[in-house]
Amino acid sequence: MNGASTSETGGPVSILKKESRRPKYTKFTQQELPACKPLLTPGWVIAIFLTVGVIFVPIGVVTLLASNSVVQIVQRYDDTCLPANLTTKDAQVSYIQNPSTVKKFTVILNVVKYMKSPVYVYYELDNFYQNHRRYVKSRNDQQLRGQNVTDLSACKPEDRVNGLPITPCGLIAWSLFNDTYAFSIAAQNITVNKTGIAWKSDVDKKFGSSVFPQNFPNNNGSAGAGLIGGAALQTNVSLDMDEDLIVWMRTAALPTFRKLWGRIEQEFQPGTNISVTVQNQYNTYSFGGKKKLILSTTSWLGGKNVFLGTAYLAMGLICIFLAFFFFLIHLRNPRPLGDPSYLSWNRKNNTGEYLRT
Amino acid sequence: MASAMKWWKERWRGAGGGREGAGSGSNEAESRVIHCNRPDLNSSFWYASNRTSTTKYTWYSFLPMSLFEQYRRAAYWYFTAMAILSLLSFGPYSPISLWLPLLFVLALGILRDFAEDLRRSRGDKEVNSRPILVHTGGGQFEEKQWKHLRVGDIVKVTDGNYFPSDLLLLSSSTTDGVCYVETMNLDGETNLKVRQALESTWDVGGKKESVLENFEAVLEYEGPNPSLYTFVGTLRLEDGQTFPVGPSQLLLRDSSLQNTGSILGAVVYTGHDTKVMQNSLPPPSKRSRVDHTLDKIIWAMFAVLLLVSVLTAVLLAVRTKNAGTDPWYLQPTIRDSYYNPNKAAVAGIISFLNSLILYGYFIPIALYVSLEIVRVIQARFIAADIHMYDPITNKAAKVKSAGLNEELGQVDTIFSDKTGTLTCNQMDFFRVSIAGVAYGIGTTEVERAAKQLGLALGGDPSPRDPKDNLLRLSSDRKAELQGSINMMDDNNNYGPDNNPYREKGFNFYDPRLLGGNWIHEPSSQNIQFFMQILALCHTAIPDGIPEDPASMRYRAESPDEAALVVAAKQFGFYFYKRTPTMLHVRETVSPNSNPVDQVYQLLNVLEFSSARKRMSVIVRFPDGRLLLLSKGADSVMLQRVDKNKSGFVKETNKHLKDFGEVGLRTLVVAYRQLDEEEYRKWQAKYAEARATVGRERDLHIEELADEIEQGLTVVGGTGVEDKLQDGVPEAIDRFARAGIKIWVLTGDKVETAINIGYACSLLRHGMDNLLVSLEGPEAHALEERATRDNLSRDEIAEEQKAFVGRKLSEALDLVLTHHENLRESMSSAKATVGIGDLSDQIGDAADYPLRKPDQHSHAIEYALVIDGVEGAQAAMAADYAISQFRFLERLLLVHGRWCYRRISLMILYFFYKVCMLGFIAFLCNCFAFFSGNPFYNDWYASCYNTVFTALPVCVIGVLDQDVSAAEALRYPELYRSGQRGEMFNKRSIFGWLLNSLYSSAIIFFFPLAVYSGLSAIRPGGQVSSIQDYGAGMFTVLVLVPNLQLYMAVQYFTWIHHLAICASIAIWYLFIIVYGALPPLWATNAYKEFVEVLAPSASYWLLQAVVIVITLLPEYLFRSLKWALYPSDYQIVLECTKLERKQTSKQQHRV
Repeated sequence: MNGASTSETGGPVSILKKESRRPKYTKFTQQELPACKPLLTPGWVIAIFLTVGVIFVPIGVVTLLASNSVVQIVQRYDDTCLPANLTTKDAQVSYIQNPSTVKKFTVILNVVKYMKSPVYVYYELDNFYQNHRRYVKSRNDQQLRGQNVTDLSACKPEDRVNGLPITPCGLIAWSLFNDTYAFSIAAQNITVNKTGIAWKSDVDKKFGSSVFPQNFPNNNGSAGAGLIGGAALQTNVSLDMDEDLIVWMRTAALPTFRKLWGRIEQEFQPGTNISVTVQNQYNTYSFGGKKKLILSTTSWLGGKNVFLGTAYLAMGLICIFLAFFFFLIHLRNPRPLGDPSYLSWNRKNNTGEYLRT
Repeated sequence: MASAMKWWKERWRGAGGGREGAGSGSNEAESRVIHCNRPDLNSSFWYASNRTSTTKYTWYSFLPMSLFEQYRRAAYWYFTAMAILSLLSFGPYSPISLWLPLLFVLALGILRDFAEDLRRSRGDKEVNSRPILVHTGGGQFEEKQWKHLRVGDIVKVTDGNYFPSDLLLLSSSTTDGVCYVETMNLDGETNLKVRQALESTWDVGGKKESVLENFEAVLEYEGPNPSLYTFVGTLRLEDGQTFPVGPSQLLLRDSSLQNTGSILGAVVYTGHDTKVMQNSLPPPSKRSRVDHTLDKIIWAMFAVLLLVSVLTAVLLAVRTKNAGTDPWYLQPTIRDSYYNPNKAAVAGIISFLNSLILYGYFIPIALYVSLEIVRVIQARFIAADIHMYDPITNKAAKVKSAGLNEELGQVDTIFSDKTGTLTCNQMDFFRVSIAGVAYGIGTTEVERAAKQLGLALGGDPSPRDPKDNLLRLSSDRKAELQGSINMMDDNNNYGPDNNPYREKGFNFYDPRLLGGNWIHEPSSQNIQFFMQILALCHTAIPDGIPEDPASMRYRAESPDEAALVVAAKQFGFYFYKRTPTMLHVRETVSPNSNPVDQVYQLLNVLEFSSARKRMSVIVRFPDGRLLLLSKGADSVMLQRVDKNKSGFVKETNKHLKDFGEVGLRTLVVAYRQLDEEEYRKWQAKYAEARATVGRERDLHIEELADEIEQGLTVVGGTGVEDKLQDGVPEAIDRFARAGIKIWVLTGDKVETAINIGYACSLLRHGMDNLLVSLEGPEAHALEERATRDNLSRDEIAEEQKAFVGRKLSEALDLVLTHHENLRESMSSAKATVGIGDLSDQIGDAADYPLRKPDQHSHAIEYALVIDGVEGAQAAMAADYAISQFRFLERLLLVHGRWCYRRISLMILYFFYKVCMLGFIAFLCNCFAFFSGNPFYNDWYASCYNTVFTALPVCVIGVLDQDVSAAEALRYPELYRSGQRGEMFNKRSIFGWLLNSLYSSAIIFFFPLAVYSGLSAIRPGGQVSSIQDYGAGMFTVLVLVPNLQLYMAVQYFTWIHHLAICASIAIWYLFIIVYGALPPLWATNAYKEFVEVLAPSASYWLLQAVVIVITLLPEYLFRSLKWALYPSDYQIVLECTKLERKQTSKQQHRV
């Protein structure tokens, strides 16, 4: 800034042309726009608390009812579906990693309450960091969509086997969950519908119909160069058809998560015993993760989750309580509206303020 | 950095088209030799051209320089470093999502610079292309543009025009080479100054063209320098004669020619070499207290950032190490070492860098640029305030340092000048004492105020002079007496309030003197002589038609002087023409006789100076008498009275004391009959002294003046009233109620000062007056010591200052021991009376004598100028300029208060919202193995500050008002909250951060409970994944801060609602549009909203409950506070509401 100059003084200019520099009057420039100035008077405060309370409590009740209408059966099986003599972690891990053993176990699920159709089948993993940065990034979306990709560096270390590109590459696909469940009631097999368990947009746009697994390390067995991670993929099934893979690859936010495994389009009466044959193959023993099998119905709101309902109910009740609380405060401490004697400079005990005559 | 900037600027300028050639500025001391009227010879010099440029940048330097300017904000270096870090492979966000906001804010800043520079360059262009007549040889003049002027050119400037550069006056259209200039733009003085050319060049450009054509001279003079009042040079004419030239031959750029047909001048300094441009320095950059606190918060935030980053790094390293290869799905030991348990330390360090970016939201990137934009708009509002527009001067308020807006809301001390600031600087002749009789029966403002307050003025209740009663009697009596006087008058409608003689400078009423009645007074001889002195003893220049006394205006050094000449005119002694040696006065001695033109020979003028406090002229009357006529302050005049022939000293002195007490500025009028012989001797010495060159000249002249101004005879005295500006007492009263301390500087006598203090409600009943005086034994001892030790004047002044300071603090101590509570308030306010932390300087900022003690050197001192008739230049140097003192109350109590609240709220809110995102990023990391993976999409985060939450906070920063302007003025006490810093202090910052912490916890965990991935989120059975949680969480993260504003402020216009609703709508729109892009762009946000979130009822239920829970504590707190410990502004709002209710009820009844 070269500071003051003739051009900025306006001196010479102003003398040459004498026009009024009176600012224009508009409500906006004069900062006189009509405005709403809500006052938190006791009446309003109580009314607002009451209103929120009165709205929230019924919502909470309805939401809780929806959650309670959901029937679910949760069965942990990682501990039971093992030979009984395996107690140490190392033994469990070496057992689960041995491809030659057959790991078939039976789990009985007891239906206590009526479950309406459809009944959703989930598996739940624990202590599994699908949200780990290294894990999340280890995929190639272009490849999954069927685009020609040469740079698979994001997928490392599961990018190439013997220099050949892996499809689908990356840690996520490689670590695909591979336990399987077969359901039966009284030796009568129940069909599990494995379609429509993934989001439609994923199936349509993110996984190509012309993309088939290639050089997938899990397919090669121990003889191959790659490490065995999770499930093998059928090389003749395009990726968009493999909904288990699609569900798995939509990573979870938390280290404890469920994934939809299938749908049983059949209702269960109370007292039914569902026998599940579990192929326990997925290694969660290394990192001490539990495995659970869940059967659940849904309500209009989704699965069983009391959180929302409780939150609404609690908030509603708190608000109603606060309404009473403020009512009491107002009773005990009634302050007349707009009483100037409450202004700080009018209060008796103000010291050191300017002395007015 | 600043010096580097300057260096660069000079480099750029130097290269800029030779605008400032070699030698400009760099060699200030180097003297110049130029050849007047010989452009061919001058072209060999590389002096600056007359083009001036006030722009910061040139077109080619603009981008780099402006960018550099942006990077003066330290935070931007940080953001850039983060953006560069993000380019590395381990960055948590995609680089573009970091670069885009950075480029956005940089572009915004650069754009702002560009607009400002464009405005400046337009102004420059206008100035540079103004026309000027330049001599092109052969006595011919050609019109050129200002910028084409060169040093040595001869130019012709006509009446009323500005000088295009600094000129050496050669000749004027008057015969004696005299011209008058107005220097208002330079020093703010409206009086005309005389410049006179050297006699040897008077005829250049005269009738004979050949003189100009052949005129050639060599001028040697000092190099460019900023001193406005010095100029040293010698002019060598063709015939070899040399003459010294000085300031009285120098015409400065930015001053204008007045009352003179035209002048010829030689260009001596051009463009940036001119005195005015040399004088203009960049204003020191001042930052508000809020800004300083802001810096501290930024550092604190940086500390928080480092802390969480270190924490994250350590936790990651430890957990990675402990986990080893157990999470086999990560294959942690293969390839890179980011998460390699065998190299945990490396993993930790990388994680640390990664975290700096991840949690970078703690440092709000958009804050600086938002603040700047908001302050500029605030400044616009201040300038647009119709209530701060003065129709008389046609000026609205001006804001030069918008960065200090909020400081206006925290002022606790005002330092003010009296004359021209509290008063109109419009002097009216009001009372007079001639030959021991006081005349004038009007009531001064001070008297009126005293009457209102019931104060008795003066100490002596029984004046001896019966006529003096007029001044002394109670107002009832006075009205009676006035009535009787009016009755005596032929026209009994006339009186002091209906004065037929009233004009600018004259508000005197007394039928005994007016209308030629003075001739009937017993001492009419003395009255005539007194009036003659008033008509002769001055330096005013008449401006008007001599035949029409009513139209005549006097250009005088001060309005007092003009008022006295006007008074003489009104009494029939009409001064109408001045030549350097003659004074023409048209005298009407009796109403029946014709006016007689008298010519007085003016021999010497002993000029007024603030040190001399008097002026004299030596005049030969037509009847041959040789008289020294003198007027001055009583303190200096009474010392010089002839003991044997003192005149009416006693009476005059008493009257003047009375005048002073009623708030008038007084002057003693005296004369001395000179002895011819003595005068001749004195005149010889005086002429010699005037001829000397150098520093001693003034000293000699002063000594000689002192020598002759002795043995005076007092004729009488005058009382001139300087009216207070409109609304001053009310404004000062409001300031007092607002808790602002006011210091007023005045040169008045103690009694005058005290009474004016009462008149403008600066002093009131019940206040203790403490007088600290340079009279008294201690002070005299000081003086004696000074004379003994032969101290210089400056040293004496220093000693006296120290003495006053000591006395003042003693006095204050005395006050403090008596008023314990006052001490308390003073210490708590940290701004004691004498040493205000923050002072608001009103007055001519350019040269203001009152400076605060140095111990608070860090305190902000900022200049505010009452930019009325005077002081355009001062206004330029000021941060704020207003035209009337009373506008100050609006500026401080309304705009200042609002701006403080707005800026405070804005900063607090900014940190509230950025911390929210920062905390959430950290919480995400806690659940993601500290691996540095945010759960939300990069783009949500980078748009969070710049798009989703940017607008409403700016609306608040521009528009918010807790109370309306009318309420703020009605309850000035509301202002005290700003002085106490109630809006922006540790408590409020802490409160907002606590709220931020709480809100971020709710915003993180509540959606987590719904999108946990442990239960289906819709009837179709699907559970949620990381991107579903991210989008769901971010929805409430956008909603909460936007809706939080409904809790934080109390004032909502449609603009507020629009901004808040639009921000929320933009989020939904964003997630829909972004999600509709092909998956290549949308990545994990693809169809997120339409497919996953929107169809699920839990998404919508979640939003409502999170909003209520996050806003509840704030609402609860505010409601409780309102009910139990209401803030003042809240009660004021209630009062207004109550009143409105009552009036509407009454109207209803009617």
